[in-house]
Amino acid sequence: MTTINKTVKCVLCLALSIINCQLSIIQAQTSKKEIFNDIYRTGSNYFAYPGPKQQKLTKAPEGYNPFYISHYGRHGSRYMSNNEYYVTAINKLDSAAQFGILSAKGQEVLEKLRIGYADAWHRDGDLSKLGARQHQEIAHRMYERFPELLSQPLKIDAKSSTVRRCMLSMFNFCQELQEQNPQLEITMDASKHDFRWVVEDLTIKPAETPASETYEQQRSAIFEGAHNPTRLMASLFTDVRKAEEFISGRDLMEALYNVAEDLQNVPELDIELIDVFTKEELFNMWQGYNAGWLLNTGLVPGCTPYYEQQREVLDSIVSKADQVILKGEPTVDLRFSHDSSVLPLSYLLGLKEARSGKADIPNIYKYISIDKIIPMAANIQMVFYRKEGSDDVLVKFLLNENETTIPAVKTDCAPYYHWRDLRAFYRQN
Amino acid sequence: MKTKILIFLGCLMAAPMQAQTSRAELLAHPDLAAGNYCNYPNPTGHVTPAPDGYEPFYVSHYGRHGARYMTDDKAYKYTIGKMDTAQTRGWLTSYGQEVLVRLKKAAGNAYHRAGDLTQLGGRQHRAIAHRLVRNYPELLMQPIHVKANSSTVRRCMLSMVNFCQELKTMNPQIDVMMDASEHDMYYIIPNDSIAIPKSETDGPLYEKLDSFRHEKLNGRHQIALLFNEPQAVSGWIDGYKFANSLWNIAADMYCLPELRLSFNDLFTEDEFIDGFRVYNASWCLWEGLMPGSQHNYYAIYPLLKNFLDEADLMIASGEKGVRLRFGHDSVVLPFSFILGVKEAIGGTDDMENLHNTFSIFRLIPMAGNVQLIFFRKQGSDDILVKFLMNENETSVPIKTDCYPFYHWKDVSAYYRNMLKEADVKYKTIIEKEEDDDDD
Repeated sequence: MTTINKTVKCVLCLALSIINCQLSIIQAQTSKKEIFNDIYRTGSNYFAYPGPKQQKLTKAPEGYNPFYISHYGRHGSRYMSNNEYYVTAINKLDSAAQFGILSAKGQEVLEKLRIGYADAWHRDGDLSKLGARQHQEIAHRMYERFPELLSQPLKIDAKSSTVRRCMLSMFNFCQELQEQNPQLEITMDASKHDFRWVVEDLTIKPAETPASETYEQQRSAIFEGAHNPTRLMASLFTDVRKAEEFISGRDLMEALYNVAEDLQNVPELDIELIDVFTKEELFNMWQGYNAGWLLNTGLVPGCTPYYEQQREVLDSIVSKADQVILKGEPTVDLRFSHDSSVLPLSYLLGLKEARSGKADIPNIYKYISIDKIIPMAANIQMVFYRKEGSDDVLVKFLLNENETTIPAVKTDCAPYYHWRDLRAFYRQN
Repeated sequence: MKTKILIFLGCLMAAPMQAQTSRAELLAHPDLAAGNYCNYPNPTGHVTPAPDGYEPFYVSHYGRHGARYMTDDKAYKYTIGKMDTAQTRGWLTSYGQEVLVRLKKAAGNAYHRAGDLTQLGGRQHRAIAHRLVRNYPELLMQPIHVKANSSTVRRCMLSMVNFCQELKTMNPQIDVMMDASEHDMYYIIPNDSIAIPKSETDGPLYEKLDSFRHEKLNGRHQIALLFNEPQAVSGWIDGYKFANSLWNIAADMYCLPELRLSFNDLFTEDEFIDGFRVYNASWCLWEGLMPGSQHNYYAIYPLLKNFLDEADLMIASGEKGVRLRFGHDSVVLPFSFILGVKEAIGGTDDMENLHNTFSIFRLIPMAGNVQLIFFRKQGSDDILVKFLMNENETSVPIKTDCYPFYHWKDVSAYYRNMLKEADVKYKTIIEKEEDDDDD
């Protein structure tokens, strides 16, 4: 190749990556229309894993081969972590039925609630069947996408939060890998001993920032404003005034939202309650939850940096990668945790989806939408590549199995990054 | 009555002599004396071929988690706490000082690992699964469905996944479904909603056990070894608590071979075996296996029912499969007693000699398990079942013409009748709350 050719190629590459970058910024924005088109997104962290949009991954630069994957995943679809929402909703609707003020719609809702609750009984927080499948499928795709690495007789280390749904997610993931390659030697553990390297440390209490109180008031206004039960009450009860004597419409609305959204994680029941709400209502409630998650994690400029609770996990991921690079032996590390861990990690790693927050709470959903980051079975995969005869290590980031970028780190080969640049970034931030 | 005698005689003829445990056996294998901490003893490997034409089609398994850390750090806290203080006061012998360093090493390793499955525990389950496939490839090498449930305790869940992972490694075609949910605890762990009939003789047995424990684990020898002035510390250290803690630590080291630590030097061979006898008697009484004791094994009847019901469903479906359950010693022991396997029925209140007829290392070593292997023959309705205690073929008190195989119709009738006669009653909500408060 001549020098001119090389220059042209470089310029072209640069131009393409700028376009790519702009495209991805545009894509990162979330619109009301987008939510309306896929209404279960309003479940935010209840949103069942949508699977990757990206079918074909960007080829690594010539000569580079994957030798290490560091995977950090949330448990798959689960039952609600407690059944109080079912209890509240059933109690209230049942009482209304006794008083003879339950509408036909209300009756239908009560029957569905009973089916859902019977299934959820003693299953609070459990991984659902769909949750198990999600992890099998993610593992399956990982194998298909990186066969040159995963078909080797690797020693794989898997660690999970001590919570059962995370452990079972790990089990399902590893079973699928084992099925694809029976030669894999997978070690799994879930112990308090390893907690610090797997789950965020809630004992770390970052100092509250001056803006955080105002932000909280704005969030609360969105959340409470969204819980306007007037239409809902009129649809469920024939005598709303009577119903209001013993039912808090706001609390009923909150309970039904949680139940309706979680039902997407138990599809085998084949019941839906999402139509209890209008799309507008769901959109409004979702905005409240979305803002809450972002503030509680520290993803809005000026708010309390709660993501610091996940710093130890980031450090562990970085130093483990260093060890693997030094040792040179191909491997895979798997960690299984929670939404409250994946979200801060996505920020600390610098993923564009988590770094686009603006100090504009009423419109914050346009910039960061957590259903894109922490649906059930959410995951971040760092895929490491190396080239024979070179010290250069490249890393690609996949968020929920789609390639993503680290806007704060420059690269000449996006979506691949030089590990040395990433390390410098993680050390400074 | 006549039938009962006949059944009894039939059993005597069919079953081999009851396993006896002698002091000589324990001296030759001190690891067995670790009792319910003992490493899973390898099975004999003998697999009696099924009668002509019979093929395995179903395995129903209940297994205890594998080797584990102690379930809390009380033993380390007590021994290290006392010995640390003694050291600052110059009360420790040089031997005591060395033991303290060793204890701290073990405690450091156990930090934040209370109750965790050890590496050995994972290997035990893989090995059991491996042998299951090797012994019954006609069934296990097919694309069958495996349903596994575990206790919600992590070490049981990790035992389950190690077991299933090995199955998958040997046969990637199998389809495994694992779960661990409160939803299934009514049969996976002792069901605490069941009302246990009271026994008047239970209390005196506990008093007897208490004296036995204090006599055997008195701590005099350990205190003399570790402290300069045993007299001075005698009121300050509870000898029983001290010896009991050290015995548990010593026994748990069998779960952690990678540490290369042992505390057996703190006990003479007889003392270590005494510790075994203490726990052997304790388990026999705790689970209601000692004559005169309260029938605590009633809490395991839902598991028996689960075994029966699911086997019937599998037989009726004509399908093949494997059913795995993972839990605790407090289930394997009473369950094997209910089944009447020969290793579990030798309980006596003669605590000094109990180990001659009943030994927990044959029943609830780490990863201890009960397996029922079902066989059928094309063109016949007859279903045969074989009982395995820790993978060794064993007998149950049911008449058979083809030991170690039993006809399922006899087995099913026998246990269904047992359930009927037990007439299990559930506690009222108020009784349950009162009991929970007592715990």
